[in-house]
Amino acid sequence: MSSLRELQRAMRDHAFDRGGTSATAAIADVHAFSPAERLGIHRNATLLGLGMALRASFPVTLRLVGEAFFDHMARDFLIAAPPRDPRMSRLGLEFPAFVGGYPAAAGLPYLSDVARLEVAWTHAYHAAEAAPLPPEALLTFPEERLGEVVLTPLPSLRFVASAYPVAAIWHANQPHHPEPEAISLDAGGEMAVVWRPGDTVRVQALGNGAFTFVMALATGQSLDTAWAGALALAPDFQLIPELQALLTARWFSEARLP
Amino acid sequence: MTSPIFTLPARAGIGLKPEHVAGLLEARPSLAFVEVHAENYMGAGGPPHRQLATIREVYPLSVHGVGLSLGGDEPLDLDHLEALAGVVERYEPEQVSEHLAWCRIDGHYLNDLLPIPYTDYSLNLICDHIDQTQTRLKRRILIENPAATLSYAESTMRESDFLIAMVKQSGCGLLLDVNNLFVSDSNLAIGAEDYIAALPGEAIGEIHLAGHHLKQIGNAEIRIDDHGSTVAPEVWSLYRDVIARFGRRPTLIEWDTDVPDLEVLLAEARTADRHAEFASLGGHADVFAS
Ligand SMILES: [Fe+2]
Repeated sequence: MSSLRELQRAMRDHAFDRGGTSATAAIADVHAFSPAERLGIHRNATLLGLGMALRASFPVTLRLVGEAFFDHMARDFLIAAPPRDPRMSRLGLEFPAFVGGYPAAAGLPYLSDVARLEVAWTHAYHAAEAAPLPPEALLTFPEERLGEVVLTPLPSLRFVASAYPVAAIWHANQPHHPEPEAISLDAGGEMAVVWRPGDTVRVQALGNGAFTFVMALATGQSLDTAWAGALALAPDFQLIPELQALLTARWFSEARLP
Repeated sequence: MTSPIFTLPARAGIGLKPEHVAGLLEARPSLAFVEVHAENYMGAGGPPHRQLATIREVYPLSVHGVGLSLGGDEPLDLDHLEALAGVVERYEPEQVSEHLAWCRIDGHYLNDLLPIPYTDYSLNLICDHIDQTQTRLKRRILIENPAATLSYAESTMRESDFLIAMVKQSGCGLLLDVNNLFVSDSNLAIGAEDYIAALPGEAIGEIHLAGHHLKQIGNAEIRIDDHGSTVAPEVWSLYRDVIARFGRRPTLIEWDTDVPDLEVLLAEARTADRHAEFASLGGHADVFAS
């Protein structure tokens, strides 16, 4: 072995089952176990440990496919893309894309979007604190300038649009539902928002107009512009009840005039 | 860096688990300190920080890093060092520790603390990384001995000699994990008694105790450090030897898999205090053998 770095690379390759057999030559051959057996213990530690961490981060995905299938998929993912961050909260950011292209999961076309929703959940759980706007916040602006108001989203706020009912699937597969009710995929797609207004992460499906409206606001568009955008997509979009919902749902932390 | 070597009370503490936070805040049992893994508090906010901020008002805190890869033969992950510094600045813990191990190469993380060969090259490497870390954190850190199931043909030093040289060269302190030492000794016959006798006691700032399990491979058994059970009788015995030799130290009960009720952890911490008290009074008898 030419250098410590080469040795560590070989051990990494061995741990992720990508070769690295040359590492055995560097391991002292002592006592009851061969170098290969000793390295095997570390491969187990790496792949099982990371696999358990993925299980913890993707509980709904896990429940949808079962432990055996999930563990196999997780192992294939880890071997294809070893983690680049030591924080378990960042493990699996690329897992949804991997799931989407995983041949054995092709029969579950919604699975990748469910995993995406779970990535958004983890993001929201660890996001920075910010106090949500009180419901009366918009009353403080002069009425004629209300349309210009710009809102700041909570750091936790994330959007997940899917051709499948991802929010319904997510809710039906929470631990307090021992037997999830069947969800018809014909029900159509869902646009979900994920956010943490206090201690608890929330997941909620929105209508087409409301989703477009909130997403436009979150990217810094004014109330007027966001409303126009929502109307273009959903002509029956009603601003006043949506504004009400928006303030009571507590997706935003700040309102200001530009 | 001349801060006193131990900055936590020299009694037993426990690892902080989210499921125990409510119970700790309610009953406020007497504990010398709680310890957390730094990596679990590197998000910006959320329940983990809310819980730790409250706990921190009640108990002294030890921040234990598991991801810095001080023994990795590549530059330290500066983003990660900054994240560690962020946790240290946020909570101002009494103590900070990391590992004599590597877990990252080419930016890939193994989520496993692997031993390094004990050579002059690796000694200079880890001392440079410790120096960089201590400089950034503006404090002395403790370095923990690994639980090894393998060793390297190219090693030229015993682990204890390596630790002694590392302390001298980098100015770090030691976190002596007695369970790790027992596991390494069982798996690789490194000689636990001589190891302890060789250590510079004044550098030992903390002790770890934990459970491990025996794994059957072929016809033989190997000890795997999994922090998933009570402390083994042989480890209690080694712990008493360490205390009898060096005096009492802040002592952590680590329990990371199959985490039991808070009561079980607290009972284990009280047991550690009884062993330490007995040993520090000069007792060596096997009254605790059970
Ligand atoms: Fe430890």
